[in-house]
Amino acid sequence: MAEAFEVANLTFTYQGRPRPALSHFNLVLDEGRTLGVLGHSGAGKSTLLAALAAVVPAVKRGTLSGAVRVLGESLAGLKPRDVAGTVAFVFEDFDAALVATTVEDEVAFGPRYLGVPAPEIPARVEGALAACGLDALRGRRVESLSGGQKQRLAVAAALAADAQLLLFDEATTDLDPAGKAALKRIVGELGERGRTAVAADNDATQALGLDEVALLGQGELVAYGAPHETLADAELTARAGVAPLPYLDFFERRGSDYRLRPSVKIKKRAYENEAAYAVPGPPTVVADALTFTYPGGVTALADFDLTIYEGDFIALVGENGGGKTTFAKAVAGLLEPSAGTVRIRGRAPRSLPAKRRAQTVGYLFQNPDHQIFRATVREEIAFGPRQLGLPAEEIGRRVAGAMAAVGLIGLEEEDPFAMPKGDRQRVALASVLAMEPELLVMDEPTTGLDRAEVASLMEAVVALNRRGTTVIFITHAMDVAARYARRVAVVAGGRVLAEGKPRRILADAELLSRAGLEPPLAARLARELGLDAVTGEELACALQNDGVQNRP
Amino acid sequence: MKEPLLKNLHPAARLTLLAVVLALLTTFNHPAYVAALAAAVTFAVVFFCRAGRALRRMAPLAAAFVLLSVVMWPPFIDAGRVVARFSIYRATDLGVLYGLAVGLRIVGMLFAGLAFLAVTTPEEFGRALQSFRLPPGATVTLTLAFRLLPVMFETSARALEAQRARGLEFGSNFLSQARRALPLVVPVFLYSLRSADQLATSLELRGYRATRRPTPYGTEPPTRWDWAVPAALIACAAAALGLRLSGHGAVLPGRL
Repeated sequence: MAEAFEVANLTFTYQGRPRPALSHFNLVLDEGRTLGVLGHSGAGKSTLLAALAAVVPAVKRGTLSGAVRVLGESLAGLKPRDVAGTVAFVFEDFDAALVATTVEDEVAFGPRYLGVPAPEIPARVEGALAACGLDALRGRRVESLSGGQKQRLAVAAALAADAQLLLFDEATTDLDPAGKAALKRIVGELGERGRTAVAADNDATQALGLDEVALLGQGELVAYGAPHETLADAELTARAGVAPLPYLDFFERRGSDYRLRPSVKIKKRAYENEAAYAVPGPPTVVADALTFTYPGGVTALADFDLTIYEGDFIALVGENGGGKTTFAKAVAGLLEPSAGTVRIRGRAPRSLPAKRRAQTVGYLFQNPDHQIFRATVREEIAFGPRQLGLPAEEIGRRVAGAMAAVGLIGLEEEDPFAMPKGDRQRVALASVLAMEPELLVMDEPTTGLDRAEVASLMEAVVALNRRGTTVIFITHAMDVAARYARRVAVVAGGRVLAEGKPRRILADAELLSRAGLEPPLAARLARELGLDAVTGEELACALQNDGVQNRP
Repeated sequence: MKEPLLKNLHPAARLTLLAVVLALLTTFNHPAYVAALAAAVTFAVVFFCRAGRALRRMAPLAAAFVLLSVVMWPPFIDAGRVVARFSIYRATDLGVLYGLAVGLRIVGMLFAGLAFLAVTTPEEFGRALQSFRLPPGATVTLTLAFRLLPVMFETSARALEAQRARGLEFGSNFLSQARRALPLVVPVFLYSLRSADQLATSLELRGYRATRRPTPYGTEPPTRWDWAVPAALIACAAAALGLRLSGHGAVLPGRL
């Protein structure tokens, strides 16, 4: 079989950076194969994909040595336009890469400019829209789509180009679990059609089912091989900063012929040590028949009812465009409900003066870059308390406290714009925490973060909750919801379908499927084994309780 | 829901129609004639484009334009009888009528543009321009502008929300508002820079070249029926021009 690409001894250092993003990197992939590229933030995943599309070094400047060949042709001296049609790229910042104003025109753009004959274009557009579940949205304006819908659109646009090599750079960050599953299926089907696909991700489960997986760490290839073998090695995945799949490993090695008592129950969630969280108090946020319609006519919330208690730690999960962010913004007083009410301790958030509201609700935006604007980390975090007119001493105390809470001590004078995304997200969180809000609302705070960054951020939030802060967080990462939330609300079609303890909600496959979700992998395995668990830790605990580890 | 009537016309025909309407509105400078044309345009906006709601939102702006024009034009017109004088301000009857006509003309043009945009997507606009053999680069630039403007607004709105969520108050004073809006500029500017870079790369990788003409998609070539409406209007415009040249429809014959 011919080679789809060959990366030979590639070293690339971005202009102005001291260390190479990729160092003496070698990789060969045959045509028709699918490859998952996993690694921590800054491991070199995006640089590898950019090199395969001639974006590096033609657009993103730097020093390059070694060679990259795609379909036998060297990319030396070529620009992205020279590989158009051969290579299709889904960018991590997908929103900035969309070029048309309607869904259909976006998908048709590539084929039109690649010179595809007119009679062929409708079939390509139909196929790509159907594959990404966008048929019903074909006439919608791009700016009216949710983040996840836009990411699906970016994938559809790449598919319509029908390129030989498709590159997906963290193309699942904004997708709901159904969208992630669909993308995994799409990548698999590309291989069956003789296309080559490379998907970079932080989530190891996205590589399961692909032909190969490459683990990257610090710009080097840590491991390469079949996913079920490579990802079963917890030490290797840890070196790449990727969450391992211990329960999968366990299951694989044990085989399926051992028996478990179906009555095995664990008394306590392994992680959910109740002492780690605040004791829930009286209702603090009450949404009653909350309805919100955007000016374009899209109804995001329709009779949304939810009660959140003081000291709560609740995860909102659900399909893209289901209304989670709209609800969060209504709580933060950033939107005026079209009908119904949302109240914090009996008062409408928008009726509170801006400063009082900022002290009541802290809102962490999904993209920290929409918030950060000061030259140093310290100034950025101090901005909010300054708006409150606090004395300098109090501002200093709050800044120090917020920085300590999220582990930023020592980085006070750093330029936040030059920091990795995980650190920028922590700066944004610290700047919200410095307001010492009673209620913290976080919109997909772990998007694009690697395993260590997710753990660091969420542990900081758990510590805050222990001190009494009520936490509402929106997430598509079911394992994060399973591990950290005390309560989960499933949101779809602008309504709350169900809410309750994670173990009940996240194990209910039928309920979750109605919101485009599926239980976390650990919950699915636990169900197969007749166990009651939704996290890897709980599963391991349940298995130990049952004495499974002593069985042959 | 049925599509607005004008949506059925080919985008190139719609663009021609717009050009002819704009020309028609500049044919006369008598307020009665211009008012009749502006009323016809308003009728088309409401019934052929179903954009009555947008029109209602624009009504205060339209009224302001007319008022401003009626006040601003007279000092530049000497002809006619003086009907008002305040200090150095002086207005003649012909000046007021001319100001009224120009105000109505601007409103008619605004409404005509609104009608066009209500039934035409940026891509259709681009295709219309391509029908007139404009270079592909120009049409893509146009659609990108339409795409990026909402993105810029959205980024600005997010930045605004982020700072408001941190207690930033803008106040009622303009200077204080401008000073406090400064934090918004940084994220929007940085995002725009990053986006421009990303967008250029995305365009290249998707086959775009300024000189490459794209395959037509989504719009059939115009038929003779598509051209029938603009042709009829061109005939009306020609008749209007004849009327004007014969001395009708002008309060100031020497002016546009």
